[in-house]
Amino acid sequence: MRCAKGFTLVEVLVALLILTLVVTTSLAFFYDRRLRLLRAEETIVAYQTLANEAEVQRRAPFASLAAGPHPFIADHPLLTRLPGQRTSIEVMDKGTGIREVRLTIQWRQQKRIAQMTIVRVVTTGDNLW
Amino acid sequence: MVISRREILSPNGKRSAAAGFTLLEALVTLAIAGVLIFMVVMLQSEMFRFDRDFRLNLMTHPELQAVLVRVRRDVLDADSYEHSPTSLILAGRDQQKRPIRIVYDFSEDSRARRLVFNASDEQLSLWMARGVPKLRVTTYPLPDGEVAVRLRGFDRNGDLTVDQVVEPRGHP
Repeated sequence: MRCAKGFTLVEVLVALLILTLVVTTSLAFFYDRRLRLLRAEETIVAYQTLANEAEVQRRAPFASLAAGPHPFIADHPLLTRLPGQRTSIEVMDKGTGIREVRLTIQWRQQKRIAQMTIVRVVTTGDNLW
Repeated sequence: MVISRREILSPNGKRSAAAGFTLLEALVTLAIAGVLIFMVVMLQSEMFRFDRDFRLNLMTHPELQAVLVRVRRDVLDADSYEHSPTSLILAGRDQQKRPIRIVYDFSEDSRARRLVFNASDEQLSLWMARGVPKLRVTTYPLPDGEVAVRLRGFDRNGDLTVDQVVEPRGHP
C-alpha cells in the first residue's frame, strides 16, 4: 500500500521549498506594506508642516520676503518625525509687487521631498481677505 | 517484533520505500516548519501592532480627517473665535449671512463634537466624531500680530500626531 510508504526525501524537500516560497513572499509583502505606510505617514507630516509654514508666510510682511534659501521660521514640532529633515524657503520675484514663495522639506538624505508654493501680492498693508 | 533500521534497508544499502522517516528526520522537519510558522506569526502580530499605532499617527482614520477638514473650513470662514484647551467657539455667518456660532467640544478624549447655534442660542445641528485622538486648542502668533488657531492632537502615548495652524479669514 502506497500510504504505508511515507514520504520520500524529494517530496519533503519540494514541500519545504513551497513553504519557503510562501514565507518569503509574505515577508516581502509585509516589508513593502510597512515601508509604504511609513512613507505615507511621513508625507502627511510633511504636508501638515508645509501648510502651517504657508499660513505663517502668508502673514509675513511683504518686504521681509528675502530671496533665500533660508529655513522655515515657524515652530514645527512634527518635523522631528522626519529623519534627517532640512527645510528651505526660496522667494522669487514674479513681477512688480508679486513674489512666489516656495517651501521645501527634504528628508531621508534628501531622497524624499515635499514642496508647496504660495504667491504673495503687495496689499499695501491691508489684509487681502 | 522490533525491526531495526538496518533490517529495513534494501540489499543494495538504500532505504526501501516502506522505511518512512527516522525520528531525527521527522524532528528536523518539524523544527524547520516550526521556525517558518513562528516567523509568520511574529510578522503578523507585529503588523497588527504597527497598524494599531499607525491609525492615529497617519491620520488615516476617516473621522479624524473629517474633524480636521471641518475645523479648517470653519476657522477659515470665521470672523472671530474664543477658545479653551478643549473647546473652540467660532463666530461666523451661514450662507444666508445670518450670524451663527460653531462650538467644537473636545472635552472627551476620543470624541469631537461640533454644535451650531443661531443668534437666539438655538441649536441648529450636532455632529460627532468618535475614535479621534486627544485634541487640544491653543493659539499661534503670526508675524503681523494676528493670532491663529492651533489644533494639536496627541496619540495614546502622548506623542504629537496632529498640528494644524489656521487663521480666520473673516469676510468683511
